[in-house]
Amino acid sequence: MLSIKNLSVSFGGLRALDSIELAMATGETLGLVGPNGSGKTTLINVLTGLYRARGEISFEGRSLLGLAPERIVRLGIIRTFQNLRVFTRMNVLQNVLSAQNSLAAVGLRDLILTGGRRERARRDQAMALIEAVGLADQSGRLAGDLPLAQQRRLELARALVRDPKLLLLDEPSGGMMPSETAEMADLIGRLALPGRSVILVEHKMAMIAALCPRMVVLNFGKVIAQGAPAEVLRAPAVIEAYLGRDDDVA
Amino acid sequence: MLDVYLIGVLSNIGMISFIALSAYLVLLVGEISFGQQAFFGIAAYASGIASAMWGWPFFLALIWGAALAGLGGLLLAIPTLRIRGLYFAVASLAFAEMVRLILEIFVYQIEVDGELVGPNGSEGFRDIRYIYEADISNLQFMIFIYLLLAATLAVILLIERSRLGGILRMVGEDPVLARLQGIDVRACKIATVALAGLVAGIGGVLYAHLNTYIEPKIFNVMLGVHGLAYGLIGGLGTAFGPLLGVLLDIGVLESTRVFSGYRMIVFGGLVAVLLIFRPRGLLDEVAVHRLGQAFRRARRALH
Repeated sequence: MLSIKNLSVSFGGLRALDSIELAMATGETLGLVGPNGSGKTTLINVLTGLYRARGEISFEGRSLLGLAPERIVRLGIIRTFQNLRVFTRMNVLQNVLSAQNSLAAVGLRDLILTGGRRERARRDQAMALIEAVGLADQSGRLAGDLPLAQQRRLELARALVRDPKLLLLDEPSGGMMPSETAEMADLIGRLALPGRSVILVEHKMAMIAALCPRMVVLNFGKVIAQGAPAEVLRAPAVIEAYLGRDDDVA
Repeated sequence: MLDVYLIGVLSNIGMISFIALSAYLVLLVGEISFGQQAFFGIAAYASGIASAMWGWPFFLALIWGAALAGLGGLLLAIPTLRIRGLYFAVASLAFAEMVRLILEIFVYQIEVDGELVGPNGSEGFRDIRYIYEADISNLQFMIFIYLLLAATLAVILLIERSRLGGILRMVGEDPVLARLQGIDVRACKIATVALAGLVAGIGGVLYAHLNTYIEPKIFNVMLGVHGLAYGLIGGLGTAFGPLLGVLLDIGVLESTRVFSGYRMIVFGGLVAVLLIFRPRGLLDEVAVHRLGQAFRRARRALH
């Protein structure tokens, strides 16, 4: 469903992504790892239309390069953010409802009128997801007042309410404590993965190993390894990228 | 009976409220306009020309003036909202000054009942006498102003309650996140600036017809700055915020004369203090949220 060919991004003289080749099948969960600055978030920014790039990205047969972010979203690609992005001045429910506003099924009528059967169904759907991520009793709170772990779960609910075909999770457990991380991994496994293509960016290898049958490792903007987590994590190039070479230490 | 002074003050509060609501709409989508006075002025002139020179009925002149102001908003927004940040603020000020300077040299007069009527450059535009010829009293016109204001406020409040209002607040708080939720941020801002132009225009039409005389210098930057400050003082969490701002400035500072000659100093100081301690005004989103919660709790307690 997603095919990336010879994709490169440069910032001035820096090559943030260098001739990336990547393919994903429908329904696959792909882990994306790499040291800080290796290009993971850059790749997500390109996929969502925030950065310009050279090369080819084809999603269900359509080219994504050059499309505006809002157009890409409407094709069914949704992301979350490494550095958390919620509407802090809205409450939890309003945040989740906000993601429905540009759905093709939401017409001008639905934008203006507050009642109606379809509108109630959409609200129920939003509330059901808020419950599913464990924020039911927080639905009326301002999103900016929530602790980090709950804001991350809010982001997950907001992403899922559009039922995206491709979900890009950018460090969904970033800044979380181990128990919170385990809860998040469980939520992703139950709510996000079934019947959906997902790219999961993470630093926590246990989470990748538990959720992703296949992973890709980036370093300095290049794909340095891919395959099943158990094998990839033993590959010398990956160990070197994370820990350095023996002679670096000496 | 209300005395003439009070009717004058109340009418003024009503008319200025339109420009405050107009500036508020622009603030809602995260842009700052120093130029809403241009739309006030465009509509004042256009409606005056229609009613005093072309003999149009007042309601047609009102629609025409407001529509032209909305069109002016569209003209300003389309080329300037490509880029974010201060760009729009500067462009809006430049646009408003351009409109004012054009009005300074705009001469278009025709003979009506043996007298020359029409805009005469910096001499201004006299004898927009429609409401006096129709024998409408100042009190009646004041009531009309408030009916129109209530209708406008109702429309804005309905927008705020709907998904459309949610979209405006998305765009205002985080335009990048809004785009990544599928919102066409630019189209949204353009439509809002056009609507804001129309709202300011309604105020301009009322102003021209109540005062019967307008001149370009009325629509200078101070009018726009006040309009902007009302939202920043009163709060950006609800459309009642800018109205509270107008009430505080004209209703208290100007009319009671407590601060007499120091009004502008107090007003400016108020804006500065609020920008530091409550950057989104007295009735900001958090205050509105808390008030809403308290209201719901009180209602539950009563049942």
